[in-house]
Amino acid sequence: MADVHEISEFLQKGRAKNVKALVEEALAEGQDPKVILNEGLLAGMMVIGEKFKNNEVFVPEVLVAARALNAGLAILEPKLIEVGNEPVGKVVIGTVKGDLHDIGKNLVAMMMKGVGFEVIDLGVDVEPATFVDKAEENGANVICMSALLTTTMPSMQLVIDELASRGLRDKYIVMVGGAPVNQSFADQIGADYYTPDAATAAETAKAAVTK
Amino acid sequence: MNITVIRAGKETTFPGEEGVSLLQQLRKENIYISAACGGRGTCGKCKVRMVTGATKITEGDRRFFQEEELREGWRLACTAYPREDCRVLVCSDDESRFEVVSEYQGQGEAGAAESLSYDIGIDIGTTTIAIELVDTEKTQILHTVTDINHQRAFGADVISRIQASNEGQGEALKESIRRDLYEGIKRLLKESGADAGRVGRIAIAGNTTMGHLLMGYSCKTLGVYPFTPVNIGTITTSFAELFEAQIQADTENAPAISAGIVLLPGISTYVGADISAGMLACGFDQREKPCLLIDLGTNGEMAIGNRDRILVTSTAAGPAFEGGNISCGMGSVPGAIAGVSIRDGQASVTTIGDQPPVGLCGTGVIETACELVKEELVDETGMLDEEYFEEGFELAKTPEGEPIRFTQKDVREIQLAKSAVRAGMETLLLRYGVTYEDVEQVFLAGGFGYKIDLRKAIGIGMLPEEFQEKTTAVGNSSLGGTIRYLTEDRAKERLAKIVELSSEVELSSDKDFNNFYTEFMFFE
Repeated sequence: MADVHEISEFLQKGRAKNVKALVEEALAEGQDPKVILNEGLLAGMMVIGEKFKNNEVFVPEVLVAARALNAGLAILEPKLIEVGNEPVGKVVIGTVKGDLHDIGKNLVAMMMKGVGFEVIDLGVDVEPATFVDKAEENGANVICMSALLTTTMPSMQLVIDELASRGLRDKYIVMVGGAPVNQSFADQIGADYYTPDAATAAETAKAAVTK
Repeated sequence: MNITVIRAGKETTFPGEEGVSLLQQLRKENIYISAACGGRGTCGKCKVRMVTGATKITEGDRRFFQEEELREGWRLACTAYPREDCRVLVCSDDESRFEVVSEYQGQGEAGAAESLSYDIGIDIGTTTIAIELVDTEKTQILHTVTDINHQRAFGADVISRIQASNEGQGEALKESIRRDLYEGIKRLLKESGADAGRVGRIAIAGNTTMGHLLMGYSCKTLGVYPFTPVNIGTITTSFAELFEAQIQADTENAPAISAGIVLLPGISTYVGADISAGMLACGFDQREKPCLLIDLGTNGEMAIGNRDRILVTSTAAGPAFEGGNISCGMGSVPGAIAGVSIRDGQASVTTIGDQPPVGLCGTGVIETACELVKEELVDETGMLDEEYFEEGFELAKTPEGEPIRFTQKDVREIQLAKSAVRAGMETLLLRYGVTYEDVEQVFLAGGFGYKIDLRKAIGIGMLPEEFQEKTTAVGNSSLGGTIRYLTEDRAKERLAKIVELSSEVELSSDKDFNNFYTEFMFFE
């Protein structure tokens, strides 16, 4: 029988093909998709997240693990819907207007998936109104913004203003991050959370929606 | 409220302003203090000791000082808002000993200052400034002066300068650079004994942000996509016009220069006149086979091309190559470790000026990373050996006995930096449609590029093995370009052609770049 812990091991090594094959095998054997998800894929991603936070692994390892996660999820997702598995929440994520940086935002998106969120990735150079429109459209609970330039950080404020002007500010958990962002900036613009790294962002978001 | 500043035994007192940070007030008084992060309380460079009237302890202060230091009045000037009379001890170096590279390939010997006419070439770098006097007739370099760019008080990189300008400091930044240039030109003439009246032309090259700040343009559009500059064409002005304020303040001491000034044209917001001047110096427009110019600095500008087509880009290498974001990092000042070799877990180091070691400059950062990889103390994923994982690897001790260490986080910083350069270069080659073999020559520009040990740069994978034989360090090619511009026939047309031939590749959202960026983060 396919071992879900082995899925976790392969995922940590970034072996997308092995992950995909094992997930297929486990499903064919009739194993519970939720167990495959939680004890296989997500457990593996959690280990990577923790190591990343401790500086034991770096961006490339996280990205290859994420590729393996996606390979597994692609097979698993239809089954999860069949059995009515609910994601822990929905996250709308993007890099703010005027900023084209992609990688940090992608890391956060992957970590969010890793703790069980459904992630709607809006890409880079995202208009303030788009963050809000997409959050509303998808029934999200969390809005995540990334900025890598001190000159584009002010765009984060515009998103929060947009939420406030539509009377939606309290409906969403707003999180901010990126190299130049810090806690005092988050406080200043009225964001709910700032986290210094992708793994902490995912943990924080999960804690916030399950509170 | 009065603020008294004591630096190197000298006291200055000025009326303090409430609600304004100590750092900003020091800048206003022209008391230079480095603030790499631009006053956001994150770099810890603007340390001062408030002997009396110490301000409330901030989050930033706690990050950089021990309990005892806080009791002694140590504060970050950027988060200190004085509310009563205070005495402030400024111990940090004014960086006047910063080692500035003004040499470049093809530079001639200095001759006597008995000439009929002179020209002056100026390179404005984000960190340093170089000013050079040339004999127009004999096209001979007569004298060079260098200094740091005192805008560093507003932040180490272009983004923090743009930010400062956007926050209403534009005028102060403009005054800062104009004062630096004015004083530099005066010093150049004095030291060389050249007659001010015989200076014919002044040519200036710098990155686009430096040009904007010098001219007093708004920087609002420089920092956000689509990064539109106000003006990157050739700008002509005159000494009298550009330095009007300085001349007025200087009255009878002002040099009688009637020269015109030309700011050389750039290509885009992130590939400025310093790079187009560099391409002129390397003769891009006259080459049949493509060559590559890489300026190793925070912005990592690069260009590939020949007389038919040129592609340029810039890649966010970050400040690691200048010692920034590195735990024991520092600029290229005496005592900075620049050479490192490691054997049997023991490091031996050489420093700038053979002074006792105090920190690590950019070259030292690369050397350390390369040696750690070679000795397998860092594995191919960039992880430090277990023994050093927590505390870092000790390179040397300061005269005070403090260890100078290279930490796991430092390895990560250099991985990001070297990978940004390599990925930028690989993307350019791909877009240009050539391989390593097709590139005839590689020019490494920038002060840092001049001092780098090429084998070590290749050792960490910043450049491919294949470039070992064809790479030349060209030093300050921007300064070299201004001199070419002033002394060579048809240089103006040639530069115009270079700018015309150039088109920019935007990297931050480029799929290939992102793939390369991840791939080259490893050490292999």
